[in-house]
Amino acid sequence: MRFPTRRLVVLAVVLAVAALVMPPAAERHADTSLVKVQTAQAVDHPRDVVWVLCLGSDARPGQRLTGTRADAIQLVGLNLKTGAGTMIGVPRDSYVDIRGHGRNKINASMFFGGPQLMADSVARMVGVRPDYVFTTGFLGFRGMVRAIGGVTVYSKFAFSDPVRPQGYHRGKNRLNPFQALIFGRVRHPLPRGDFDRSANQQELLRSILRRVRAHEQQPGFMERGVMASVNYMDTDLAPSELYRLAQAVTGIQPGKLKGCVVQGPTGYVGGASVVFASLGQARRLGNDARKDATLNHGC
Amino acid sequence: MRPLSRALPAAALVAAAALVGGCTDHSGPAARPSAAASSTAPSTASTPPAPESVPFKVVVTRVSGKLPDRSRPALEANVRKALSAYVDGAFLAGDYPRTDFRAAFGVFTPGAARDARRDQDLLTNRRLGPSTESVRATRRTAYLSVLAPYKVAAGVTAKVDLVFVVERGDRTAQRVRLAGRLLLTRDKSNGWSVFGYDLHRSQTPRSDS
Repeated sequence: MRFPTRRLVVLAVVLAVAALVMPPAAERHADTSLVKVQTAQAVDHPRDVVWVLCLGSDARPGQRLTGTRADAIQLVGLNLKTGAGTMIGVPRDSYVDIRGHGRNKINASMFFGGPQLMADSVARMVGVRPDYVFTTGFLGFRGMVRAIGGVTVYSKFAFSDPVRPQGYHRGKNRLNPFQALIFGRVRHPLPRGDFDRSANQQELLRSILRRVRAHEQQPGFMERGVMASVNYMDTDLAPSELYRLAQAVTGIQPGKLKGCVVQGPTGYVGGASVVFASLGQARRLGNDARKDATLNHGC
Repeated sequence: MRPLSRALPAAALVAAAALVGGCTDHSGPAARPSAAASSTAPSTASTPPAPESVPFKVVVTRVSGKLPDRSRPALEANVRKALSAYVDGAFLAGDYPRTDFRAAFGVFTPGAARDARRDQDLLTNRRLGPSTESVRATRRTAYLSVLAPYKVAAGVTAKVDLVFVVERGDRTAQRVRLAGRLLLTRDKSNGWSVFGYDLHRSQTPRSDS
């Protein structure tokens, strides 16, 4: 490793000062020493690349989580070997073909056929079939964020909301669970509405990853987080599989977790606001990231 | 596999190692050789009896979910069995001097074992093996954080702290410390397998030997 000249000079000065102020060796007790420390890390998971469909259900208290519409739709690819990842955001109002139900908003797939049909609709749109589907609701999301002690997001836009008296600033925002939920839900104050909201949801996922990676070595932290997922998330993964996946996901580097939102013009069908999502772009993103969960050609 | 580049910067590790006293043996109860020493250190007719190691202390310290009190001793025993198999194969057991440590990872999942073989200079006594006469553990602790959603443990993080004294005949004995996390899940035979590790190792001459 090369040291810049300036750093070498500083080091020389520090050593010189230390030599002057330290007592002679004979009077010192060697109670510290420099020890070379080596580290090694690895987490084994049966798959090198995992695709997870993360859904935010709009179920109200008392409603079945997977029997209502999905308002947040993020297809997340994780390369557990390289530490890279891809998030493909699908606008909830995307007007698409739903198997067996004709054309409708994609988020209605959840209402018609639960997570399986939702996964099918997203797979037909993007061309990538998810390995797992995770669904959570408002309370569940807050519970999971609470379990990890809140998150810090980097917002592209400043906006206000009653849950955060100081407002959401451009840049860094430390959010409690409720504020985090609102960050992923609001769209009216955002310039591009649903598209920017989807990008905010991706930033939330990134912030959760940052938080988990920062605390994964804290005893009990990972277990607490996975326990919250078991409690608040709908998945058919056994707890031991979820635990293993969660541990493996901490190898994903937030800086290498890229996000794109499928774009398209908005319009109206039968009086309802819809997005005519670009299937060409969705397929291109899917083709780019399918094998290695890495976007090599941008959005 | 997680890229090694994610490791903490070397300077910070060096400083941390100095701060936590990486060069001195802790002299607490766990560091004293015990009469109830491990039976893992082998003795053969051609070598003097191996020095005794301290017992492996494995304790459940945190539970997410619910784990009945009556289940804890069995869990601790089963995890101790898996961890001991690794520690014995990697450091304590076998006829020294030796160079083959590949069998140390029998309780690792196949993928983790593959990664561990790549990292075996750090995870085993391979580098010192050819000049080693005997190894004994002066500290062996594992504190367990347990995921138990349905009153049954589904996953465990073992925070381990292992200190070995490697005797090398006329050469200076070495103190090897291996600490960090071992990640475990149940295997098909209802035992425990290591599917991940996040360990750091330091080695210093043992000045009082």
